[in-house]
Amino acid sequence: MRRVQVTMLSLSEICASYGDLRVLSGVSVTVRDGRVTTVIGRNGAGKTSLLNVAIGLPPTLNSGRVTLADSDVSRAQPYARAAAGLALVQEHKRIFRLRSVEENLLLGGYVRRRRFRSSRREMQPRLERAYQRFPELRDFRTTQAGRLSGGQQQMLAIARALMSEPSVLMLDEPSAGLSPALQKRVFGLIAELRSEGLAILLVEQVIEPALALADDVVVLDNGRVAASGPVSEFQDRALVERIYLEGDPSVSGAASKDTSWTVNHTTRHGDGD
Amino acid sequence: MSKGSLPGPAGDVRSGRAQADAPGGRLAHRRWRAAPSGGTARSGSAYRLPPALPGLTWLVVVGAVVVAPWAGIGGYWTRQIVLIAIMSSVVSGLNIVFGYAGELAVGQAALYAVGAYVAGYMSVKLGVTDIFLCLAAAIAAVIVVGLISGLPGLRLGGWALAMVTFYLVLLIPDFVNLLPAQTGGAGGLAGIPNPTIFGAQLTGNGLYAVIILVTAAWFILFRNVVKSPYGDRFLVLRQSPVLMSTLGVSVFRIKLLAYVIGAIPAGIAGVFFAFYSTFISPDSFTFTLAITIFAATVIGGSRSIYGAILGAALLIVIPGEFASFNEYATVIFGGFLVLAGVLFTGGLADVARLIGRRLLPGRGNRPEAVAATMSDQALALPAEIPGRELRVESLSKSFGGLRALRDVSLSAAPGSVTAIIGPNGSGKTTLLNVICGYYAPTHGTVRLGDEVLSGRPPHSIARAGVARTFQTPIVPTGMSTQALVATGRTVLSRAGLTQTALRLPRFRKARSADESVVTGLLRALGIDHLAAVDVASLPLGTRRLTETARVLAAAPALCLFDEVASGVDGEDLARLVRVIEGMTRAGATVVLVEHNFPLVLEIADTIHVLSNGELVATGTPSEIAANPRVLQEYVGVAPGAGDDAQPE
Amino acid sequence: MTTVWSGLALGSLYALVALGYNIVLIASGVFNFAYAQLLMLGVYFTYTAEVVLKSPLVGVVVFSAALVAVVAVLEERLAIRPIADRLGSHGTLITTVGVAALINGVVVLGWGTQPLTVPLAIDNKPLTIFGGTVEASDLLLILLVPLAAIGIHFWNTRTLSGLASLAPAEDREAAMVCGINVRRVAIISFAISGVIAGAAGLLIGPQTYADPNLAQNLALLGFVAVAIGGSGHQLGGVVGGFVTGLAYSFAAQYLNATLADIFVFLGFLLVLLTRPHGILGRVAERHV
Repeated sequence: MRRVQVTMLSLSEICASYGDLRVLSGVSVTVRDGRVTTVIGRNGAGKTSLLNVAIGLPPTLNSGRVTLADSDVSRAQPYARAAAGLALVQEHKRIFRLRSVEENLLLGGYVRRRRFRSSRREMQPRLERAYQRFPELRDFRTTQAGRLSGGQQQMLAIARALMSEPSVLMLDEPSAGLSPALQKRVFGLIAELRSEGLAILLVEQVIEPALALADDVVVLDNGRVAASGPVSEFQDRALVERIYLEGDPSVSGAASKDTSWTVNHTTRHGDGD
Repeated sequence: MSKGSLPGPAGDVRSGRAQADAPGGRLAHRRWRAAPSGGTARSGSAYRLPPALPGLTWLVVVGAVVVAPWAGIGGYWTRQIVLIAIMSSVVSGLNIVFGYAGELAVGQAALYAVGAYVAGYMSVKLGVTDIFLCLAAAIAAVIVVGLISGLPGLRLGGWALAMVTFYLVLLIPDFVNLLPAQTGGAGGLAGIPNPTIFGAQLTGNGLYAVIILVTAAWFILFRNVVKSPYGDRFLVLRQSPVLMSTLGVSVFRIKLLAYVIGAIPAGIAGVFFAFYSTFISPDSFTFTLAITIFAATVIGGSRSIYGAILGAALLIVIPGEFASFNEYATVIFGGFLVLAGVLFTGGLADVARLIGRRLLPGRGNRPEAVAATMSDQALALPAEIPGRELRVESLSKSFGGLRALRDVSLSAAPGSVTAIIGPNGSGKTTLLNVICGYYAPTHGTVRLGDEVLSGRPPHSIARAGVARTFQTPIVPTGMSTQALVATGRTVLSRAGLTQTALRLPRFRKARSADESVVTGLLRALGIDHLAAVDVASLPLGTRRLTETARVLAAAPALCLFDEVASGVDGEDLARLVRVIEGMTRAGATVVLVEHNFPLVLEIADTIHVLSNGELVATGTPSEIAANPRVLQEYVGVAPGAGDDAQPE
Repeated sequence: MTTVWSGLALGSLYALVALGYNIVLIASGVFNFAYAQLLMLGVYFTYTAEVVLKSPLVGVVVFSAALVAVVAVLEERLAIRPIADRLGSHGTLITTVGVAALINGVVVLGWGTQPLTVPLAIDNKPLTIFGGTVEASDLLLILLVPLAAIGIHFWNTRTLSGLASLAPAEDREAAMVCGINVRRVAIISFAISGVIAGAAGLLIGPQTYADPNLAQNLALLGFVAVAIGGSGHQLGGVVGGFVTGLAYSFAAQYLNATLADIFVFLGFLLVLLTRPHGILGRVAERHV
């Protein structure tokens, strides 16, 4: 994969809300080239909101910055961020159900079209590469996307995001609803992409494979960062499970010599701010 | 906005109903964005029931208006006032349909014409001049016309309804030409005689007085309906048809009801117009009139009672005062509509309220104090909740190629907490939606006690005793906490529309019974100090408590909680747990669809684990916690972990 | 046969309105009630260009198309985009009706209430084809409207930018994530619909005159066409338009004008009741 620019996605001190409802408070996450940053947390923790803020969709960014490859994109529209190399695989397999598989892929590559006289034909080489990576999609290229099985739809969603040759790929719970075999395939694919140099931000709810894949880990709880650091600090799986499952990271005496690991207590009271 | 109301390209493969309607859908976030901040709610039934008669001010005003001609205000102003009264009625009908129920049924002008022609026909051709008979006939006629034109439009809703109703207006000349002998044809029907009341002729000021009084009476009824649980239901309907069906009301039927109620004042107004002007023709009922009425609704404030009068007054007085205004009339109306739509959606009434709020600093509670305080008193839940057993038998559900549920069988017994857990995508939300009737199963059945639920529409299932909360609490704007909880009682509602409008004893009894139940529940959950607060300004945890209260208000046979712990912990969560435990002690059947493992381990009696649409384990908390397969599916701990996800 | 031709001529008008409705509906998910008013504006601008400015043919078309396109884009920017997200079809009904009334009022202020004759730009002798008479300008319209619809349809299905303009109406957020500038797509679709409305003035003006009452009928019957064809389906809208026109023409011929109106309305109701997605709705699903 050709990359034109140095890539890094940085979300710093993100505070975001839906109207009056605060969903993220002071969240900072960094994603680097050739590394997988995994974000885990329970439902309602704000994982999807985080990805949405990164791409420029609601919730509204109240304060904080989104930086993509040294440029501040906090005010940029989603299409501009996509053009700058940020791709998002949304949760629930959000593909265009009424369009065919091939049309979905073409739409994914739209952002890389020629400035003038763009055509479907120019997308052919890219399409070819997509079909090579996902051979099952080739068989269904003219099938309406809504008719595919859940697993195929998820593959299509990922393939579509890759059509834009992004420098940063964000995935929102790609394993949800997939059989163990398919999950394995998805995680294997992510590892492959990482070795090709892509910067990956992975949001997941299944802890074990997500951590196995991770280089850096962020644990979200109720809109705040409960813990973050390189994955080596998270070797104690039981600890992680407790943080994730119990959501009250009153971790004492954790291996915190490394200052990159921060553990915050989350307090919960009507955050009227 | 819901995508489902627009006639867009053929719908989502997933369901017969638009995807936006499925609970927990991604459009749920849109409701939060529209939420106003703080402030007391404007909902129909506030903490204290408003009296049936609006009070002394009203009586004085109406009285003054009635005697005005005898006090010597002159013919010009008398006429203006009559026109305003007539127009206000028409506009108020549109307020009900468009402002309250949210339906784009905008052809009031056509119904107005029907009323006028019925009166004209009866008095001129049939010689019947008794005003009550004419009113009755006109009301019957507009109800029929309203139903005929409403039914097809309601199936699609949105634009189709708007177009059908606009179309009706354009057809008025045609219908008139069809029966020229009865309607006077294109030239119009002249010589409409004076109406009679109890045999006595009504002329000039007498007719004026009757018109004013009947109009005032209509507004009282209008107000009584709007400021009541019925009004709250319309509010809910407009903002969330999903919540509406969860409350046990067929969305289709209540829309039709709104449509019919909205037609009545138009018919009445038409009768008065015919008698007052003694001449009607198709030229009196033009498309421009239809737009004027529409403009009056929007400008006055489509959800306001008195906004109708305000809008009508503006649109009659201003053109009257400035003769040259007429040329610019359409431009101004059009401009107003655009401005009103863009700037303030609640019309001038909302502007007035905004000013009122600014000027009177005491009103409007900022939510600093809204974190529900832990109540020390013992949970005083209803002593007995009539729970019944839920049985899901071999349930399967597919959406196109997606098999969301495969042959799932489970049950939930009364007096216990049954949890259904599983990772995202496991099908638990689909299962919940099938139980509630948003989807029909592809195979299998759902039973509650000995009633079969599967295949029935959501409102019917709600009436069978199923009450649920939503992953994202559905909180319509403009409602107080008290009012929202009270909507839970809709399923048990005993007071009909007539009783409500006339504030008859049955309505009062039902109302006070509801009020005591609701107050008791609010107190039990420790949120009674928030009763009058706009529920949309509450934080998430408190919203969930409110929803729980709404569920309890229905005395349900089955309580479904959709991820009730999501985004909530600490005191709020502890309180929810106490409430749930209290409910099971009272005999309720509680089903938790949950993602929160430790909560489930703590309070469930039985746990069913779903994965990939299949039931993979059932048992008590200790059994499930010890089950390695569960951990694997749920948390992703693979046996012999480590190898699977390594690169290469 | 003449009945058929007049039905087709009438139908081409409705098909044109349906075309305009669908362009905007497909690209932005918004129903522009004021489109018929834009068509009417096109007729008036054409009149001005021909009669007042005495421009040559090309100038007339350019003048009219450009002006109406500007009005259409203004409408999108000022009256639709600000509220479409917040209030959905509820809000856009209010504002597009408002725009329709505005345009109606402006037209009366600018050109008066008397219908104006729009001169024919081409030699309009009646032709006899298949045993029925039809005027040349009508024939042109009958041929051009389906061509335009087919052209747009091909653009949507064969080209990349056309495909990209379909996406926002199906899933706006997913389209944004794919790098599609959904705002620009909406503006362009409005502009295109405006260009078509303006350019069509030359062809429909002679048939309809520049008349302030023109738009109402067109607005409603254009919607009937869309309902029959299935909303969002270009080809369906055109077919729906012709069907409506033919139905009207035949009803007027064999019943009378008054009943024809009612007949079409009842047919409309019937379609809504029995096939709410349009007669062609399901079939055409994949092709748009």
